[in-house]
Amino acid sequence: MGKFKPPRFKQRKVCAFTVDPQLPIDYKAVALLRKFISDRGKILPRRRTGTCAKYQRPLAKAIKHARYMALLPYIQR
Amino acid sequence: MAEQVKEYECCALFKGDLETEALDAQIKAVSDLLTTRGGHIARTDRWNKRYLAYPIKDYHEGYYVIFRWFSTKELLPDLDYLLKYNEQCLRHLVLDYTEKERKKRKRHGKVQAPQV
Repeated sequence: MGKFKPPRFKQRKVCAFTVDPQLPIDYKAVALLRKFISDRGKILPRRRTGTCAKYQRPLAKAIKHARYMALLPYIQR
Repeated sequence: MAEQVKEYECCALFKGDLETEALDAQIKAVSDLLTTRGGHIARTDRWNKRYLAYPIKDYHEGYYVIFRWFSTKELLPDLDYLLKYNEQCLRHLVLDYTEKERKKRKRHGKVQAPQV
């Protein structure tokens, strides 16, 4: 007999920018952008954060601008 | 045809060892350039000294100054030249905020509509 595996329910991720339209997607909002990068400083994919495609594009751009201005690291060791 | 006036933002990163007077002079130089070339400065934000995420030219700290202004695109090369060949400026970034603001308004409008 196979082992019984209880079904795993994943919490549905929602796009933070759709939920709260006041959230700024800006390279200066460093505290917010930090939620969307990994410990290594890489941009997290949509499947991890739940951000919708419409806002992932400007978000990625904002993170890149913040990196250029040395507000965020390119790589974290 | 007249050039279109747009809203721009420039974020400049100055060296962390600058004196207050020297930083003021740098800010004044940029502001003067913007105003003399027909720009209208909307806001100038000066952040406190801040640690950089990574060292630039062996500097670990810097002053961020953010300029917001309305102008045509004609003065942008001059501003770029001023900051690029400035010894005290480590980085600068100029962005067009006209499009962004327009998009943001549209985004807010979409969400606010169903509440009625």
